[in-house]
Amino acid sequence: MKRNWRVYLLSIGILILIIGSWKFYIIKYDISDYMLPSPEKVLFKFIEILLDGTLLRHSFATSMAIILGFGIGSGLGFFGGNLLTKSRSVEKTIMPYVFILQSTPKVAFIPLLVIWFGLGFASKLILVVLSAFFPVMLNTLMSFKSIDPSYFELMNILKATKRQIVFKVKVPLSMPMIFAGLKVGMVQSVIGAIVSEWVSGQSGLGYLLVFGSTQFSSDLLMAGIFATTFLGLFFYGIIAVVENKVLFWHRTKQIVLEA
Amino acid sequence: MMRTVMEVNNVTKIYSAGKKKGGSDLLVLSNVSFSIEQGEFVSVIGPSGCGKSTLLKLISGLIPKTSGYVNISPSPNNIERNDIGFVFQDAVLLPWYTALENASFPFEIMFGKKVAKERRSEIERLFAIAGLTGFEDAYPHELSGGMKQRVSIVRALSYDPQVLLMDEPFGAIDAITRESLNNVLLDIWSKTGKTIIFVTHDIAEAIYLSDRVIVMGRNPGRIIETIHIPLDRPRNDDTKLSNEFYGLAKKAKSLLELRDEA
Repeated sequence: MKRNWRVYLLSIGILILIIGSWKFYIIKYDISDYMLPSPEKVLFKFIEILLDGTLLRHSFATSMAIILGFGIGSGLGFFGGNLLTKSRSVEKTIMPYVFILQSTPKVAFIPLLVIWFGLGFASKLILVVLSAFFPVMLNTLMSFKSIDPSYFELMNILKATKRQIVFKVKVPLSMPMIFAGLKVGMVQSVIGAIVSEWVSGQSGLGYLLVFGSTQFSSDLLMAGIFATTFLGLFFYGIIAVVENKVLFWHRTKQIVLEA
Repeated sequence: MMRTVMEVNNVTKIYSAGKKKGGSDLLVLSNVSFSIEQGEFVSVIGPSGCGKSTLLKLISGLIPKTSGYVNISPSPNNIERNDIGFVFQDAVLLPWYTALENASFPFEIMFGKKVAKERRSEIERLFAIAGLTGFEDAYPHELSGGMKQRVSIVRALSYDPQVLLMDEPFGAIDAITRESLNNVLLDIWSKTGKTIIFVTHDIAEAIYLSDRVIVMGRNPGRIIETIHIPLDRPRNDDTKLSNEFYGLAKKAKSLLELRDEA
């Protein structure tokens, strides 16, 4: 316990050191505002856009794309991974393409999506769907394949129905890996949503960032960066909390909690 | 007097190599026959690759037989739909269930969660016999390997199957724990009167536990000989020090070595 306390103190110390040297650097070398705004200016800007509703409006636009896109993408990913385990030959035929698509940075699709679906919500949504789909599908597939075959033998001995095998053993046992996929998918979704707003957005945090850049408003940009960080943490946190509840029995989870 | 519970008749298993490889079919088990009386403890030993685990899976129906048949006479008071309990090398417990929930999992599969809960007292009685009292609400990751395996034995016995098949259940467990588990198993056996087929590659374990030891050889997998074990029960550490025990172990060993040279 005592050691933990020291570690926390050290962590906070580092933060203070960074902010302190940031401020010191600006004063010492007389840095202009548009190159690097001072910490308090960034904070005031953040509070300003928080209070006037700008931040909420843009966060809402980004969040909608993330929630909807991640929901659709991870749902499709789960069923896709499930389908691929049904047949070895289908899996072998399709997997190479899945791996190729998985390695392609999804943001590379944005300009094309803009041509196909226009400068609006649709192309942003499709990109988020793609971002969430692949990690969830791959992890679902891998997790189903890594289940100890003895579990299925046990279910056969007990004369379990197919439904029971899926819902009482297969799905729960694969939850740790599926959640790992969901977390990766969520990080990718947040990135996908924000980057696509650079190009196709009329609103959203990504749009706010590009707007800040055109205005040379560095304080707005930095406040916006913090906003995206909070948004990313928020959505990642939701998954982590659900995972904690669902996977209370999972070993590595406990190690993480103890650390 | 003695009632035959199970009859294994000319069971043969051939793994077909398939047409495309053009290879020859693999004869894994050749004409295996034996029968087992009510309440008997029979071990099957043999070198790896002799098909002893395959034999258990054929008996349980986990894999299909190429030819031959297995008859299990239905128990007069068996209301469940299953005559076979199976204990695997690993405990195969569900990590999100407590020991008790794991042990009553067969009830959950057969009759649903509600019935599984109602039959708690039956499971608790088996827990007491297996030395698991006090661990009812422990999760698998809180239990040692030996304790987990006890839970899986209780699970296999929960629905009162006719025959308990055990596939090297203590193979992954250290020698000291294994000895105590052997005694726990004998205790469970004598208190429940179950018929048990126990696969192992440990000669001493097989002799210590069994009424009969079936010695198998490989290429192809088949029964070489059946050794009767007339050692007095209950058995204990002194049993293992007796000349009789040594004589039986020597005999089993020579049978295994004889075949290995061939």
